[in-house]
Parts: sequence; C-alpha cells; structure tokens
Amino acid sequence: MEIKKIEIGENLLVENEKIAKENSEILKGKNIVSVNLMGPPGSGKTKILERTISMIKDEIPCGVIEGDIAGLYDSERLRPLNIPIVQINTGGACHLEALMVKKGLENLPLDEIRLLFIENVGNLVCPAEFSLGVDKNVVVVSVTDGEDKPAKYPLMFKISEVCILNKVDLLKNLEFDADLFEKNLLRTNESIKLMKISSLTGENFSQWINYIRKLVKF
Amino acid sequence: MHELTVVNNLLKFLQNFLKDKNIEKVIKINLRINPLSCLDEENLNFVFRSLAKENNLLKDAKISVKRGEDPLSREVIIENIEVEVRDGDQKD
Repeated sequence: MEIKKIEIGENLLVENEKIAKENSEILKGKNIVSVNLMGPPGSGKTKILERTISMIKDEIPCGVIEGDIAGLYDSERLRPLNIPIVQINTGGACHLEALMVKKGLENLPLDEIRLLFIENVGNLVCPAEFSLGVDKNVVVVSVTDGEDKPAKYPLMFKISEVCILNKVDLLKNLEFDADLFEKNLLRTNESIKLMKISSLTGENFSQWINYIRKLVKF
Repeated sequence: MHELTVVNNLLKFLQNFLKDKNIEKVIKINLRINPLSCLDEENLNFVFRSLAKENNLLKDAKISVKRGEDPLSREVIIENIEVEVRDGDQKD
C-alpha cells in the first residue's frame, strides 16, 4: 500500500469569508455603518444597545440584528425602542456566521437604516473566529469579568477596534484593578480604544456615543 | 465550541475532493490555523470521529493542527492530507 501526501491549501472557512464580503457590499451599497458587539454573557451588550439607541435614534436611524442561541429575550427588550430588529436563533451554535447575518439583512428595511448593530452570541471565544462583513468589531466586558480576560482570550481583543469596559459604577465594591486590565488589554492589542463606561448610570457613556456619531459622519 | 462548524466544512470539502480518486483511506489531515484561535485539536478529532464514523474513507483519519503566524487570520487552512493509495493504480 502506497502512502502519499496530497497538497491542498484550501481555507475551510472560505464560504463564510465569501458571504461576509457579500454582506459588506450590501451594507456599503445601502450606505449603512455596521458594528458587531461581542462579549461574554452578562457583560451588558443589550443594555448598551438600549441606552445607545434611545440616545441617538432620532438623529441616526438604527437597526439591530440580535444573535442568541435561543429565545426572543433580547429583541423583546429592545422592542420598545421602536426600531427594526431581527432576532436570529443560532440553534445551538456558539457564534453568528456570515450567512445568518445575510438572512438577517434580508429581513430588515435597509433603506430606512443608517446604523446597524449586530449583537453577537454571548461568548468571548467563538464569535471572534467568524467574519460577518461588518465595519467595526467591538468587545464588551464588564468589571466583574476580571482583569485577566484580554490575556486569556486574546483573539477577541486582537480583532476589535474598541473595548468597552462596562459597569464601572460597581468598581467601588470590587477588587478589580482597572490599570491592570488596561495593561493586559494593550499588551494584546496596542491600538485598541478602551472606553470605561457604565451602561446603567451613563458614566462616561458620551465617549461611546461620540465614537458612534463619528462613525456615521465619516 | 465552534469545532462543529469547522469539521462540517472539512467533511463537505473532503467528500467532494476525494470523489473519483483512487484512494483507499485518509490517514491524516493537516490543518493550519491562527495562533490565537481557540480551536482545539482534541475537540476537532472528537467531533470528526463522531461525524465520520460511517465513512470508510475518512473514519480512521487523524486531524493534526499546526499554528500559523498571523494572529489576525480567520482562515482554517487544510494544508495537505496523507492518504493510502489503492494498489495497482498510482494516479490521483
């Protein structure tokens, strides 16, 4: 029996990359700015969306794609904002893939949207490994997650342009060392923008809102 | 975690690639992935064994993972496969 090696050199995620590119073209064609919010469960992604959208929706028409393994919980939370929302249930998958987002786009009134938020499945690992075709990746962690997360889950922090450190209103009750967090973060990605905010009290929230406004303006 | 997606794509690719080739069975599948990727070799093999157990060409294959150098890459490259060629024919 002869044994031989066959060279291949194919990307197994090429299909996802292709669809991500199509998503990007669809969004650009409609002049829509897109932001992918990623982060562990409970870091406050939905709360950030609630506060952000209620502050800007009168000046910037927003839409949301909500990604969860199951349920309508997050889209129901956003429903009172009265903006177009599509809930995607991944049915067990731990991340959104480009095809799911594409199907989401088909169900949104894209002509009425200028800014699209995608809330990924709560997870600090897998969502980082799948391109969706968005303009900006943002990772949200909270002070209760610990200072070590950028060192433990480097890929997510490496591919993100912004890191939101949420729930800073809790700092006084915790041992969390914000300087150590920042050091770990910058060691993983020296060009990432860190925003320390509270989506509950609104502390420093304007930094995030200004960033979003700028994205849409340019 | 997302090993399932990768293994599904791998099986789809290999089933297509191996069609009409004179191959007895695949022994090894060499993948190259992002150095920071959380894809785990053991988990990939576990999922692969579960999904390929009915496939005589593939069921004994082992996945081997090599880390690439680009920390921003989203690619999972199937670099090469090692196969047993059927006796009496050396063609691909």
